[in-house]
Amino acid sequence: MNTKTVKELKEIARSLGITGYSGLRKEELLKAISASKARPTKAKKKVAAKKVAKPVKAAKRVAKKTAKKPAAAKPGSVAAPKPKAEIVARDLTEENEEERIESAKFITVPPGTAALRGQYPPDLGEDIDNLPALPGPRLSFLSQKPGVLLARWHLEPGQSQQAALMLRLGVLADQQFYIKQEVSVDSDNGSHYFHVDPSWPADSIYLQLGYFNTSGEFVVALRRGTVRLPKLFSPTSLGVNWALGVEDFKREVQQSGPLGQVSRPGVMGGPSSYDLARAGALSSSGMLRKG
Amino acid sequence: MNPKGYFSLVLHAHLPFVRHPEYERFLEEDWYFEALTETYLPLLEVFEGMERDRIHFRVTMSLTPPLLSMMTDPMLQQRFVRYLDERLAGIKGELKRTQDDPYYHPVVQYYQQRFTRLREQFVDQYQHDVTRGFRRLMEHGFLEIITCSATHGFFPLLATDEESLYAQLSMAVRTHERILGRRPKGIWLAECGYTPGVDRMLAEFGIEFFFVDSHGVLDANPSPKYGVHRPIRTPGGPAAFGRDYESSKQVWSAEEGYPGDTIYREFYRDVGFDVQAPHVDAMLHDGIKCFTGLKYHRITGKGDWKEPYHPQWASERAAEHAGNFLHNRQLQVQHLSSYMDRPPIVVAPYDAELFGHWWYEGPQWIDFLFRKMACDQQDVEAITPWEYMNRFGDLETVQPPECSWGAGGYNEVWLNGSNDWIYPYLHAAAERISQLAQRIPDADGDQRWALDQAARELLLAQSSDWAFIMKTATSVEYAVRRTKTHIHRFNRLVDMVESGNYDHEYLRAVSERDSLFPDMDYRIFRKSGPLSARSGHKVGTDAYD
Repeated sequence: MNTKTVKELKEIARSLGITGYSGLRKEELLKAISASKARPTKAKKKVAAKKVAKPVKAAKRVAKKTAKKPAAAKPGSVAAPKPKAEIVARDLTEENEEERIESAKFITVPPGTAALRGQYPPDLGEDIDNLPALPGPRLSFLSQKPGVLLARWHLEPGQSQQAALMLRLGVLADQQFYIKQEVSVDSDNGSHYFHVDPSWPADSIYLQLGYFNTSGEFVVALRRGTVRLPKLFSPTSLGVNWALGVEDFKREVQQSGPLGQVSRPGVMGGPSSYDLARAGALSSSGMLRKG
Repeated sequence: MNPKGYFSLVLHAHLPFVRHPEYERFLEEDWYFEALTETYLPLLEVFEGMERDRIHFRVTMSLTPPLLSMMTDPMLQQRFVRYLDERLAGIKGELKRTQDDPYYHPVVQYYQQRFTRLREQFVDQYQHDVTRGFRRLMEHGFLEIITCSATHGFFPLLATDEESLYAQLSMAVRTHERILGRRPKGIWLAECGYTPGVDRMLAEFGIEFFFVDSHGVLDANPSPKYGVHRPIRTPGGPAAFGRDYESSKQVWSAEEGYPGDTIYREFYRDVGFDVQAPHVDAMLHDGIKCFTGLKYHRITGKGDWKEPYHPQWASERAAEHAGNFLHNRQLQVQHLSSYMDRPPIVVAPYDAELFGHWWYEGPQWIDFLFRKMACDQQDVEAITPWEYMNRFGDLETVQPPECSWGAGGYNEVWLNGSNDWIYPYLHAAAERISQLAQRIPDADGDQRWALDQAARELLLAQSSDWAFIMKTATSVEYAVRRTKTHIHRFNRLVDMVESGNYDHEYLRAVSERDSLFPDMDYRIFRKSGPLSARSGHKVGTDAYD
């Protein structure tokens, strides 16, 4: 256990249901984990099951536009002259201390201590174990950070079994729909984090959920339009600014679909981009079907 | 004074709306009581002390609508008095228990003085309503109080429904004006969450400035010439001030930052866990162990061994740290002013609760900082963003990118495997109420009651705090429960509107529980409604027709 990183230990702590683990240091984490190791929880299984759909390592980035960071004087000493650095941005690679401190607002027990609060008695009859049904099937499409987009789908019970559903991420350009990634959907509710090339034009990314009909055409059942893709500090230096190197990034993306190249041009479903992505439209030919 | 540059301290004071009249005691209400005890009242004391001593100081503070609502809520006011009285009773027992202990008795005596003073402040001086203190300081020009989205909704992830952003802004401006008596000039976008286009909406509400993290300015298009040390003008009109990371880090970082100094009070060690005695149990919630606010140790070091806290030593260290911080700001503005064509501004934003709640000596540090700034040097002068804009209003117009001040700089804290399930429900609810507001432009009676309450429930569900707590794994069960509860309540209320069958008992119960925003008007969710309805220029039904 000692050889694990803080991040790995936090993941374990999370899976064990330890509260306040995000604020713990390595030794505290080790202590908290060994204390609660004997009681595996549901959360553990949940994390394991989710691993497939989890985004890759956080894209930690150094945001230094210009020169080196000026050093601050140590408390009680005279500060060294400030180096000539005009602009200093946040070092996003460091452990987020602010998050740890901000979360202190919401704790009532020390981290690593089991929260022994009593059960909430029934209030106004809300069924807290279940959420109300969403009105109809739904596809959400949100931007998490540069290069990572979340697709989340909610279907009617059993709907995912009725047809071989697929999520299809594509880019609209020159009146053509270029399919970039396809992901099989095998549950009624779920999510998938797409790793995309951050240089894609943000206003032309589309997400479709659909299936191939008997003629081999892709029928769009649900669609979502564009999401804003936050741009990188320096789009040309992906390998520098991302903890994930260029090669790793490409490999990640290639595992779920082609990167940076047109997979195949689709057959347009209508004259406008809206038509192209609208529910029920045929967005591409069946030739794209894999396997 | 002709300073080389300016310093702007920005404190973002916020807690989610936690108020549970259905329970006699509620553990999570302590979040607010602890913040009052350790942050809001001590800050007021520091500000008033500087005012009394004629010290030049300027602080920008966001008091969010949920916080203002809790500060003015009679039930929470009474419960806070009970909280203080329980502590004073507990301290009596502790004085007796430690009477022969030369190490801990002085700390207990310190807390006796402290809590006695806090009670005087809260009950006698502010008559249970601390907004009086903040408002007076604002009216005298020491504080620039700004607003925040109505329930701390995180805009980049709510922006799929523009109506949600309008509704969040509308209730924010109305609440600010109702409680503080004037419209806010600035806003703290929750979590510094900016998304292009928001600036246009802010302008519609008369907001003149907001804040972004440093990369929000540095990565703007085109790149602003002087980085974060001069505000920028957004395409929609309001100015954006970028966070100066250097000064922020000196305070935030536990390793290099001041709060980690071993002389300062240890946050995690608390009498609630250290002492077993009936007078301590009386401060707990039904015998459940929790923080009491009585913390007897200093940080000491990384291990478990902690030594007794010495308030005086800690105070001296806070003075040293304030001097160090000021010295660094002097060097910073000297350097910046050497190549800028006008005095730079160093904007240092922090969570207000960092000062006092997390870093117990933080309010004293602020006190020392401004006193030293006013008396010991002439390079740096305290200023508010609004004052700076009025002096140096010619700003570069650039387009900031989507950004936040969360870990990673974007939306990852509020959108990840632990919390992404909430968004389809939030978006679906926003679409539903927006359609209803469009379809029913002039509801009254029960219909109006249910729609207004549904709008409150949705705003409460949109609070970014729930997603944050789910991610940071602190009070996850409560955050999940709150999110689900508000979604359930929202659905039940709009179902009533759609069916025409109103359950009055339920309506009364839910209105009593989720009681913020008494001037709610569901039409703030209306698509393309008249600006008056959304911006709160005029409150009253005639404003919407």
